[in-house]
Amino acid sequence: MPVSQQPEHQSDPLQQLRNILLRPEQERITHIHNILEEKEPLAERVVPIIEEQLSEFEAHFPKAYQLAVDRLVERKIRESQEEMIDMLYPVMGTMIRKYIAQQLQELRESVEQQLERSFLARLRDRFFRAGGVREADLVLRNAALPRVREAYIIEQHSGLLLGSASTQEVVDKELIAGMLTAIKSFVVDAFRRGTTQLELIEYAGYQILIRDFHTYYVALAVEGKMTTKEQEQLSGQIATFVQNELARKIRADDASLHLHLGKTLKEYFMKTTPLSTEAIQGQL
Amino acid sequence: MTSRKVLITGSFAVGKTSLFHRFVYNTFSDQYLTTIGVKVDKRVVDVSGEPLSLILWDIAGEVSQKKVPKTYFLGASAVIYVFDLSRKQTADNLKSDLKLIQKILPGCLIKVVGNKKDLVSEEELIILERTHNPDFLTSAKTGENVETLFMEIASELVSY
Repeated sequence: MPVSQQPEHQSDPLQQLRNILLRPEQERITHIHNILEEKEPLAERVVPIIEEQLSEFEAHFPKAYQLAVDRLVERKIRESQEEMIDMLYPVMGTMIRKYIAQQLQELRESVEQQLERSFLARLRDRFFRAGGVREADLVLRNAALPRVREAYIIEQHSGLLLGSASTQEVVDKELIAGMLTAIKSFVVDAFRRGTTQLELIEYAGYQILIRDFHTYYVALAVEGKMTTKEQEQLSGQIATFVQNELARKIRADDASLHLHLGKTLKEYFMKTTPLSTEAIQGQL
Repeated sequence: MTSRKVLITGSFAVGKTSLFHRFVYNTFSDQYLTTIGVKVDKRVVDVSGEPLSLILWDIAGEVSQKKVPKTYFLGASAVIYVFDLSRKQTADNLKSDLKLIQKILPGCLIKVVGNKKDLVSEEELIILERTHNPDFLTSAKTGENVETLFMEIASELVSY
């Protein structure tokens, strides 16, 4: 081939020299170029770096951006207070109410336990025995204790009233017995918990304790909040009452039974204010 | 005093609650019907000189009695099954409903009542009586036969 027809870089001695000297660099440039142009090799190298940076960011985000986030939240709360209250109130209200009720209940139970154990209680008992009972202590203690205000013995299913006693004026007792039975039936039917029965209804300052027996059930409306121990105590008294007074065949239209139960219910659950007297005497 | 549980049931809007109100003084709110599906009230009636307390359970209307909680039926001495004379479809499940009630409460006194008599003509009444054979035709609106219905149930319950 004549010299004039050869490619320029082959004919140029300087270019030839450059090609020889810079070959490794040119190969590296081509390799880097390939990495940058091809997605997979690029991802292989870049992803670990990004992941590392993200972990770093996550670890240090609160520290680095806390101030900015705080300002943002503060501004959002200021700008849409009503919305925030609407959203939080139902949740917070319920939580606070539950928390306070639970704390009060725990406090009351703990005070009860401490009183039972304490030297002070023993000293008071000695006063009591010696006839030197501190009236103020008893009055204070009794005032805070739950009291049975209404008592019902109701036939299962039909809801017919077998007997009742009350310390206050109430709506027709037969209607209460009927509606209570309807509510019981509704709960059992709606929640389908096998043989489990409704045992306690709470309303305002009242608790209705329900204890089921085969053909009837006993419902006591108690003013005040009972502790678990007091509920057990009252259940025990119901069992004693049933054993002593209802150990015979009972019929809803037995007029003498109505009278008898009305009288005995009062004696068992109201006259002696069982939850107070027994609690005090238990410490003697 | 003797007491008896009496249930008033049937499809929706047949006039059960109106019959109920015609007969008893309304003690509790009707809201109970929508909340727990039942409302209880009572009336003391005189049967041959003896007082009888009728404890009436007004059950929220359901197209079929299969949907009414079985526990509501238990312990009832009598059941009043109401259908609307002006809406024939409210008696569509009459036979199967009565069968179901008899199964839950064997031997229970059941009265089938065609209500809203004031809304249908004499000719229609004859046909409806022949088809469904109701024990009573009442009108809660005018009060026709309402007292008679409950008093007959009361006296039958005393001798039941």
